[in-house]
Amino acid sequence: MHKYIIRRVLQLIPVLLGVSIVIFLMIYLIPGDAAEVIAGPTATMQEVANIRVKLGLDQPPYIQYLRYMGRIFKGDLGYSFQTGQAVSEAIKGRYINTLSLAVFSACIAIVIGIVSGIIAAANQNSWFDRLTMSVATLGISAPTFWIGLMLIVIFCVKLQLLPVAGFNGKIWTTEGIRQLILPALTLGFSSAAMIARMTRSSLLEIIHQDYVQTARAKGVREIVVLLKHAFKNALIPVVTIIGVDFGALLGGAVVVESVFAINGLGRMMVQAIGARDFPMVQGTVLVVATTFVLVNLLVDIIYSVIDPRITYS
Amino acid sequence: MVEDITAVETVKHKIEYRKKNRFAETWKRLGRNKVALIGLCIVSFVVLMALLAPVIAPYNPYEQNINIRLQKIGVPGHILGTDEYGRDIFSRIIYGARLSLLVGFSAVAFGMVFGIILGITAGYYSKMDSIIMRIIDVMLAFPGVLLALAIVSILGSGILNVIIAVGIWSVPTISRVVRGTVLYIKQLDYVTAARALGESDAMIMFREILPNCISPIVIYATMRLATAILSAATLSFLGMGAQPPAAEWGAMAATGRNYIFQAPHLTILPGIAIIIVVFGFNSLGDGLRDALDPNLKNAK
Repeated sequence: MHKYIIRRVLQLIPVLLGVSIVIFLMIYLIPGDAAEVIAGPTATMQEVANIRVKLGLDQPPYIQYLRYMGRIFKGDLGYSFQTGQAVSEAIKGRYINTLSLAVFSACIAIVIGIVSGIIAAANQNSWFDRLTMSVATLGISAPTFWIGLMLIVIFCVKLQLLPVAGFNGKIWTTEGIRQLILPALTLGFSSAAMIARMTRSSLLEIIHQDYVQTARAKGVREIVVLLKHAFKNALIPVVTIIGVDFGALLGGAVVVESVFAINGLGRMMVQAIGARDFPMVQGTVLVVATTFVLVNLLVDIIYSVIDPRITYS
Repeated sequence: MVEDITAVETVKHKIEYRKKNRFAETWKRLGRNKVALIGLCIVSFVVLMALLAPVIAPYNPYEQNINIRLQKIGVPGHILGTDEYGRDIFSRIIYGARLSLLVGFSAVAFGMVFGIILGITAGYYSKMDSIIMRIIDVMLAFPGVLLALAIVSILGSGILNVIIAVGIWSVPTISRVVRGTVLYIKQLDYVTAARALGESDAMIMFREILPNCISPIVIYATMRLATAILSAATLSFLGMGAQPPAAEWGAMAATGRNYIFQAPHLTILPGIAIIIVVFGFNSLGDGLRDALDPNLKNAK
């Protein structure tokens, strides 16, 4: 077990190094002269030269990479071209918003997905089952931004129940939760759909197995059979989906934050890309990718604890 | 030696025969699957709509008429209403199918070429395997559309760059699928026989192994088309893909958002178009999976 965790952690090193190299190389991959592209068509020679020095493009790439890594370990991600603010400071202020959104939507997705999956499986081919599965199919096929806009139309424009945009950064306050409900629903919609489908199919597969029939034959109540005997074993593939999806939520946050004007990493990244603010883009991409990799590690470890069949070789 | 050659020829013959038979069998199984048939109908319908856009569309999708801006659904002459410049939404949605399919097909084709080359090399040469798989791991470390966004940030916005970005984003998953299949196929007897006959590695990889990887590739490519169309629309929505006044569904939803209070249909309709197409490709992919390879039923 410990060996497995150590191996899994060691596997991270090349991946994180690779991620840092890719992000570092972003500047070098810009078609044409990166400094000129970033400075824009109206820039003077002096401005272009300044940017070149700022980006370190006047030095050989390997020296620049070593310096870049040195700075990263010190927590220095450079300075924004637009505002001059330290990228690490800007990220610090917004990281919590993105994380709140991702965690909140994961909770919503898990609850909605598992509950509707169980009810659908228990009442196979009923109207509820058909409705749930149709909504789930919609959830997988609909673009996230569109679901967000539709929720705005329904809950903000028509019903006027919830605020249209913004987040005060405090998820523990009532206002914070009210502001985050729609974005979290939007982000969690496709995850909930996946979880519901997986819970349903996994449960249906298991409730026809002998040991479940035996439990029924013993006269155990249906709800107990379902929740105690079947659900436990049906949970394993569901946990996998949850794990895979939580990472995807971080990526989806980019879109949802833009729709609901939440000051998170995603929205900051989209704005930085629009303004060709490369230090900001590089910093946010690095932080999101690293978080994603670490979350996946955590999920793998949790998974190996839950499922005793996983081999630790 | 001669006997060996005959044996290989016979095996090849059998494979050829089985292939033909399998095609008919697949087609039959696909026909029995209702969801797949619906998917196939939707996809064919959208492809036809895209091809015949100039014939079907009642108006030029770029023709502005400020006097009739933001008309509601069902207005005479404009069945789906008009947008903020008075352009006919129905015509723009029909033309939008062209861009979406173009981006989807090109991005998946791009991803397939590189994905197949990387996957087959990794699967065939064990020495290359760990190097290529580490590169793939790095690519997979960027969640969701993040990799595509990062690529667009390098290349700049625009349809062509979105195709490249979504294409590159598809590479890691395609190459993983191909690699997995190659690892299994390369240890089959007929591959050993081909090697014994002295066929070159390239011949074995692309003539002997690749044709037998087709099933998972076709299934995966169909499903990936759905994802590619969704992500391209998302990038356009974020302002990084098709630029106004392009008749592109994601971009249309993005501009429609500014009028969400007075004319929500500007946003609702392009979204429905995206859902229909994505649903079509997803269902077709699901059906193909069941028809071509029942073993893959539980694979994601």
